[in-house]
Order: sequence, then structure tokens, then C-alpha cells
Amino acid sequence: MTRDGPARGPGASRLRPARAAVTVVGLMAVVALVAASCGSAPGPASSPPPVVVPGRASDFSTVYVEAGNRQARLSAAQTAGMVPLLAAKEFRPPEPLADYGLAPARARLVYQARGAGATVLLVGGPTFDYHFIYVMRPGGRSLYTVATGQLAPVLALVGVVAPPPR
Amino acid sequence: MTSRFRRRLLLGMVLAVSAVVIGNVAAYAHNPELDLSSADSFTLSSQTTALLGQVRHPLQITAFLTATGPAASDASYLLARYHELNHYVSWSVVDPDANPGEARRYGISAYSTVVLSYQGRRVTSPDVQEGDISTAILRLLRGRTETVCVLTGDGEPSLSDSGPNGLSDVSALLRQNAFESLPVDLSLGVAAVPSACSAVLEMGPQQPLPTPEVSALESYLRSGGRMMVLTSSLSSADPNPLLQPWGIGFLGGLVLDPARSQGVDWSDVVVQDLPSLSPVDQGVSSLQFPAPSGLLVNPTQGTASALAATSSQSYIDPNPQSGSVAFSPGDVPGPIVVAAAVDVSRVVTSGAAAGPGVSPTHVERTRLVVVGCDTWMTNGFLNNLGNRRFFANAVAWLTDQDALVVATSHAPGDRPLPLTPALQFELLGITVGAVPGSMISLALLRSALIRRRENRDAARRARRRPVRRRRRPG
Repeated sequence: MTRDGPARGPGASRLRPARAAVTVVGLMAVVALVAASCGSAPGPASSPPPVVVPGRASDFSTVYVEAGNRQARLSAAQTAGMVPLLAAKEFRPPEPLADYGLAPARARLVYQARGAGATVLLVGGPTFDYHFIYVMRPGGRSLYTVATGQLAPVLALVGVVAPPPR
Repeated sequence: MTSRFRRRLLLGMVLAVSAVVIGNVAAYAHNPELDLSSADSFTLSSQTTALLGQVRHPLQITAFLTATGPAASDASYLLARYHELNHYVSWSVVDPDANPGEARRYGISAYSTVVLSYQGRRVTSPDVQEGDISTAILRLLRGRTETVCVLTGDGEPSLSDSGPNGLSDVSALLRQNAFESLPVDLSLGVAAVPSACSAVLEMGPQQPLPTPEVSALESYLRSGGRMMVLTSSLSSADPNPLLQPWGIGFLGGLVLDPARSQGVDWSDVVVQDLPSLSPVDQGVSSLQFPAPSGLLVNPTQGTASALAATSSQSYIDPNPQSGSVAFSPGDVPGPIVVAAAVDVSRVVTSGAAAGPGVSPTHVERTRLVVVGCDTWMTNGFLNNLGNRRFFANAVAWLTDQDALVVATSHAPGDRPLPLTPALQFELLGITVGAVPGSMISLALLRSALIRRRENRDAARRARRRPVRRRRRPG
């Protein structure tokens, strides 16, 4: 021990006040960051698009579309474009189904699975700017919007014309 | 490290962490907001605030947007600011995909459309941006559309031209502020300014105005007309017959400003002296006037004021075609006035009184804005520096309107910095002189302090060293 402070041997480190202050400030910054990240709302995450019909084209033996008394079977290429069928939006309809062109539906899409069973979709009218078409499962509570460009060629097979997007 | 010091350090850290945690918990219950964005992007402008002060009945704002996603949250944030400023304002965000019936009822055909309803009137705004929404509120409050007549027929740029030399942005700006821009050609037929014109804009004639047109405009101004004249020495039109009766002379020539110009082109002048208290200069800090000409302000009646002037290093080159841009004996030294305004009021007797208590006199007020540059408000330059605000202020002043909304629909991605030679000199001084100089000074100071401490320690060590006596031989 010297008169000025504790004795320092060779290699012994001495924690200076400046270094201590920097350590404390750094620690505060880290804690503040952690606290802020815990307290703030999560940012908009890029969620995957809603899936209307999952799987692969090979999962279905036939896919056909029907409107009124007309029915058409989709080609393999058309089927590949319809499975999986992804939607831009999925929501609970706040308005009557008639506002979506689904009461009655303008067309039906039937996905016949290779095993037993089939997936049926009701196809409604276009959205306000014609970029999407409403679809839903019979009795379902969710409504989907599917790109007009994807559905229009299929609907054309049974004479249902989807107006081009505005 | 002593245990005492370690205890103090630990105590300090615990206190710091506690302070952060307590501060965070306290802040969680409150949501004070501070807009630190460079362009105050999250604060409503003073014009919007003033506009909302005039809203005294319920005003409903309905924004048609995808209900989820950043656009909806931005819109909600913005519309909540409107509601904060005036609780008559209510708002909602409606997803037109999920609510097609409502979208049909409002006639919505595009996302981001905003419908505003006020006292039975309804207007739509094309986007959920402050400029668009405030403009729509202005239209709702005004309840009528003013007509601004834009002269054509003498080579002026066209309102429908969306190219860099056109005026489609001016047309859009007028439309957004509930003005109808009416093209008027006085060069043909019977020249008379339509009575519907709240103001007349002569935006850069390229050929001399026919005498009947000049007479019609003179007559219009004498009878309390409002007019903006943009002129340039690059055109063959002579505006002096129109301007001189009001105390403004067009000097012509080309103004060159070596101190305040955009890049190396001395004629692409950045105007930073806006000496007038006129509302036309309000909120404008700088203007970009390419190839301006000089004006002479010599008021003979009413008040005339210089709105914009170039720097003291500028000058007018009367013969720019000569090829030499350096100041020569024939040049007019600066500062040069490049924009001016005239306001003349007079009492006019209109004959017999219309009724008891009604004065047979009324006040006629002529207002004139003159700019010695005819390209600053074209599409290529309108959004540069304060040009847009200056134009809107001028139109508002001419038509006796409140401050118009000039906020663009989208926040500018870049913030233009006019790199004038004066600014370049400042930047050079800071980057080459001040910053390295301060660093070197700090280093020298630190070195001196270290040396002083070492000297002090050495002296202390020397004092403590035991004095050894040299043993004498023998």
C-alpha cells in the first residue's frame, strides 16, 4: 500500500472511474434496449398467404368448375395453376354474402381428391377494383380473395366472365 | 480493486438498472410523442392546424384501405392526429375488399381513397396523406370553387403538359386547393378577361402580347384585378407596358450569381434573400430560379415590395449571348430583385347608393405578383426548394385566400441541398478545417495533460527517493 492508493503489482489491473462509468452507461443502454424491445409492439411480420386449397396437383384426380348447367374439367396445366390455391386475404365477412356475389355463388370449383372426398369452393363476384374474386367453402365462416388472373381462365371455361382489373 | 470500490460500483449498477426499469414501467402507462423526423413527417403542419380550427361541425373521414398492414397503421396514426386537434373530426379505416357494399355506396374504385363528409357535402381525397386530406377539408370548408384564369395563346407552357416544361403540376396544385384553372386566350377575338376569374396568371409568354390583350389586361388590373406575371429575357415578350404603371420595371438581361447558384451554372440561381413580410414569402426559405432576369421596384402608388433578391455577388449580364460570364463594366451589380409584389387599394365611387345605409363607394384592390423567371413553376422545378410554397402563397394572396395546402402527397425521399459556392466554402471549412483542427487540438491537449501528469509524478518520485550520501574516500 502506497500513500496514494492501493499497491499495484505487475499485471494487476485497476478499474478506473472513467472505465466504470462507461461500463455502467453501456449496461444501461443494453437494459434499455431489452426493455424497449419487450415493451414495444411487434412489427408487421410477413405472414404467409392464406391457403384455400392446400397440397399438390397430384393430390387430386380431377378438378372441375361448374356454373349453372355447365361443367368443365381443368387440364393438367390448369390444375397445376390451381393447387395449391392461395388467397390474398382471409376474413370473416361483415356484410351479407350477396354483397360478395356468393348468394348465390357464380360458380363452383370441385377438387376431387385421389382418395375419398372432394374439396368444394364457391366462387363469388369480383372485389371493388376487380383485382380479386371472392371464394369460400360451403358453410365456411371465412371468405378469401383470390387473384382474378388466376381464376378468370378457369371461370371462362364455363362462360363466367371476370372483368379485368381496373 | 478494493471491496469498497466494488460495492460502490455494484450499487451504482443496481441503481442504474432500477432507474431504467422504473422509467420503463412509468412510460408504459403514458404515450407522449416527440417527432424527431427531419421533415416533421409525423406532425400535422401549421396550415392543417389552422384549417382544423375552422371545423365546427362533425366531419367524418373514411379511408378505404387494406385493414391490415403498414398503410392502415400509418393512416390510423395520421387520422388520429386530426381527431386530436379537433374532436369534431371522426375517422374510420374501411377495407373495401371486406366491405364491398360500403365501397360501392361511396363509389370507391381505388385503394387509399378517402371520403370526407361535412354538413351534407362530400369530397374525396386520392390518398391518405396530410396534403391530400387537408386539401379535401379546405374544399369542404370553402364550399365553392375559385376560378384562376391561365393565359394562353402567346407561347405559354400548357397546363396539360406533363413534361418537364409543362404545367401539369401547377394544374394539380390548383385543383387540390379547390381552384378551377381556366385557360383563357386573349390573343384572339375580343380581348376581355372573364368576370369569373379570381386571378389571372400569365406564366411565361414567349412572344409579344398583342395590343388588344395588353389593353384588356391593363383594364382588368385598373379595375381591381389580380395578376401574376412570370417573364424572362429569353422570350421576346415585353411585359413593361403592363408592369410599369404599377411601379415595377422589367430590366431583362440574365442574372448570374456566383455565390448562390446550383452547381457550376451561375444562371441557375438559388434565391435565399426573401426580405418581404408579404404572405407570399411566408414559409419560404429558398427558391430555385433558373435563368432569371432582374426587376426594378419603384412604387408609384400603393405598396410594392421585393419578394426575392439574389446575393450581393450577383449581377445582371445584359448580353448573355456574348459568351463571357465574368462581371464586366456594363453589368448591373447585385443584389438583384427577381420577384416583387404590388398591392394598390383605392376607394371607387360606384354611383348612387343601393339602399339606405349602403355606401355608394367601395374599395378596389389591385394585386400583382411579378417574377423575372418563367420556368421555376414548371414541372421540372415546381417541387424544388420552396418553389411550390411560393407559387401557392402567391395564388392565395392574389385571391384573398387563407394559406393553401402545399404538402405533397408523399413525403420527399430526398432532401435537396442547394450546393451553392458559398455553401461549398462552408463545407470545406468545416470538413478540412474545423473537424481535423478540433481533433488535433484535443490530441495536443491530451498529450499536454499526460506530460504534465508525468512530470508531476516524476517530481513526486524524486522527492520520495532517499538521499544517498556519497561516502568520502578515506
